[in-house]
Amino acid sequence: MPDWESIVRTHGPMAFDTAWRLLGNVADAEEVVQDALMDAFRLHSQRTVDNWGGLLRRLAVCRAIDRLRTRQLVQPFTDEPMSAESDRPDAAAIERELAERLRWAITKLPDREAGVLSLRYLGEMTSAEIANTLGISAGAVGTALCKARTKLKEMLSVETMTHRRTPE
Amino acid sequence: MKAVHEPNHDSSDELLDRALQATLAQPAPHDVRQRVIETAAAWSHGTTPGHPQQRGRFALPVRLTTGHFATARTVRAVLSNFRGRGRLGLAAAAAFVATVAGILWLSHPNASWAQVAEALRTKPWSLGKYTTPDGEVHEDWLSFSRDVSAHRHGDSVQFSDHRLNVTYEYNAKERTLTRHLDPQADHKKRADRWFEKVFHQISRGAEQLDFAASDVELVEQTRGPATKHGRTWLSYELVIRVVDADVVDPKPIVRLTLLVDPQTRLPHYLVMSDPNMNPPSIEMEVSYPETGPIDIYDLGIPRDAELVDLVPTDDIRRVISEIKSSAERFEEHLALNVMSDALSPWYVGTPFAVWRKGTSYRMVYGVVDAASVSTRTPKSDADQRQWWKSRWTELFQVPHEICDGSTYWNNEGLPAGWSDQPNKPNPITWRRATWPQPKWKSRPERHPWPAGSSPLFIAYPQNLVNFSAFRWKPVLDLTPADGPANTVKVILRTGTTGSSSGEERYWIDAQRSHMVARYESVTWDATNSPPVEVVNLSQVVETADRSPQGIWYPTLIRHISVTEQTGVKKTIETITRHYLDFDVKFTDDLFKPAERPGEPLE
Repeated sequence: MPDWESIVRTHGPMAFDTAWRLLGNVADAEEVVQDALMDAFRLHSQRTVDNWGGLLRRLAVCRAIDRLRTRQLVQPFTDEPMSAESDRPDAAAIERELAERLRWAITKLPDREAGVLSLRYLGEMTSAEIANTLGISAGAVGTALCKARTKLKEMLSVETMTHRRTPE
Repeated sequence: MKAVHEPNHDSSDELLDRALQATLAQPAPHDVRQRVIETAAAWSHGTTPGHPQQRGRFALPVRLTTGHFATARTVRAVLSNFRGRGRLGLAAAAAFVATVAGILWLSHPNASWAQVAEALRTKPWSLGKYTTPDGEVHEDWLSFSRDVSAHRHGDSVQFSDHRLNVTYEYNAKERTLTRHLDPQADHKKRADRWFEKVFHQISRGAEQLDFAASDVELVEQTRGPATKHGRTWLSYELVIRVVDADVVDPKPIVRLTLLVDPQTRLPHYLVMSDPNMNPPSIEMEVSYPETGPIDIYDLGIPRDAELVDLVPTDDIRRVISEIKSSAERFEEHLALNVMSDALSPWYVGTPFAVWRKGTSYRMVYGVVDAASVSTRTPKSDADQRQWWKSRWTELFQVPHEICDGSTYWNNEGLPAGWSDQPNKPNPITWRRATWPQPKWKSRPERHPWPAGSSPLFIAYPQNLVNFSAFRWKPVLDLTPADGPANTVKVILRTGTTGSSSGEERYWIDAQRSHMVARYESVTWDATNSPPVEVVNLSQVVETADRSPQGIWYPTLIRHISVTEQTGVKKTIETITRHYLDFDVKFTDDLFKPAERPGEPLE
């Protein structure tokens, strides 16, 4: 079994980056990753883990999604349609808004879809790695990913956002 | 960076892919990431040399099982009062301005306490309002006479009854109303004390402010007239630097500007600025309405919302209170503790000494010098305590943890190659010549408790002594079907969706000063469906004794832990014996990281 310090130094940064990408908030990312590492540290003394990198990212993603949901994010954007052009003067601001919108949308996904999508794109894991980490088939990963993408596309559309912002 | 495009990608995916790319493109805060990694990497060092609370041998770092993380959260929560982090920061700022409003009220010059009380009665509510950049209005309500406060923005509503120390939070998505103990109560009190001190001095016109606070320092303060909305105000400007050790350099600087009505001395505007805050500046307008919400339903919460009650019952509070009382009454002592493999005779093991006085303690290990290993077999009628005291002088001593009640020091000086051998046999054996000098690392300690280093840690554990209802959901079983006779069972549950979760189980002997007679740490293996319960560690007090004041403590504890290596589960069983001496006298110098040659047991 690799020693704890080498596990942390090898795989911890990617776990942190994954959580950071999901949360976009330094304090939250720090706390979430600390908790994830604490979980992993417990496991380190209890069992053999084949893929520490995958496990750490999975723990970080689970906790980060929990944290995102706890925040009860309200969609924080204007109704202005998102431009497809990236060379506008306010492109950077639009990109940040896009990222925030994506985070909000991820909180609305079912657990598995949110987890698979986050591990795939924000944790930069392959489908095979995700399948191995989550203990599910590669087919199930593909299905979850497809469903997640479909739902996210719908949620990110202007019509949906506008509708959601309409007071009840 | 990995491409986010999938096969069969079409134009409708563009927005999603841009969002993913935008998320990936935001640079991670490298300094914070490095700090998290360094902290976690040091956990394995924190186990050294081992102690009896560990799962198996040398598994869990001492601080992990106690208040280390709670302390970190405490610091961060307090800091959020000054610095903010997104909406949480704004909420904290709102709470802050309410605090300021109250303090300025209380520090009204020339007012007697009776006049202050009258003023509070005539101004029953304060309301702070601010708007975030997305146009969302945040409201903070505070009533001194009712001792309640509330916060509302969008669907998010929170209501706190400070007399009862209870907070209600509404989850609009799930239509649930959660009732729990106020997790910020301690932090608020600490921040309140600091603000009260500062503003009381300001109101008295002090030229030099006394800033005896560990987390913040005053950089600059000015006072003078200011104009806003055509009116002249008395403006207080404070520049504060957050200097807490847990905060990454450069230390944040926060600027607070209060505009006060010169006639009534009531604050009407607060501007809080920090370039690292999001947004970097907020302005809150404070008003004083005659009426306000007397419960959370007055803030628009549907009365049919499901109530989720996490407040411990009176029975649980009483049990926890008894445990805390026993822990606090336990006398100062020197504990010589010996950790042995279960099958080893009592004289084969690793000794560690703990001096404890109130919230101060010192823990030192005795290590066998590999260059001159000597084994001794005691006579069959040997006194175990005396034999180990004598044996102690033949070992070399490694101080491990020291706490003086407010500062905690951990010795990070470890020999090369130490980490290569994760499970070290008892007794711990090393070449004395290669053991480095202590390398102390300190940090503030908010909840001092002799962590893992004393029989008190197991008999009166930190999770119960410094119980946090926010972190744990407690369950009390007055007639447990398992565990030692005549005990009650307290279960502390934690866990979050999809991540490893678990619970801590304590069997508490009410007839023996509420000592924990048995403990289990349980997790659920979520890789199985349904998840399988795994008892990772159990600790059973097999024999116990009483202190001079009649507080029970363990004299022999059996630890059983389960580890899994290469797919094979392995059970490790160890025993710790505790020899306590209550007659020993020691001074406070013992609780500083000073060298004590031989660490004499006196």
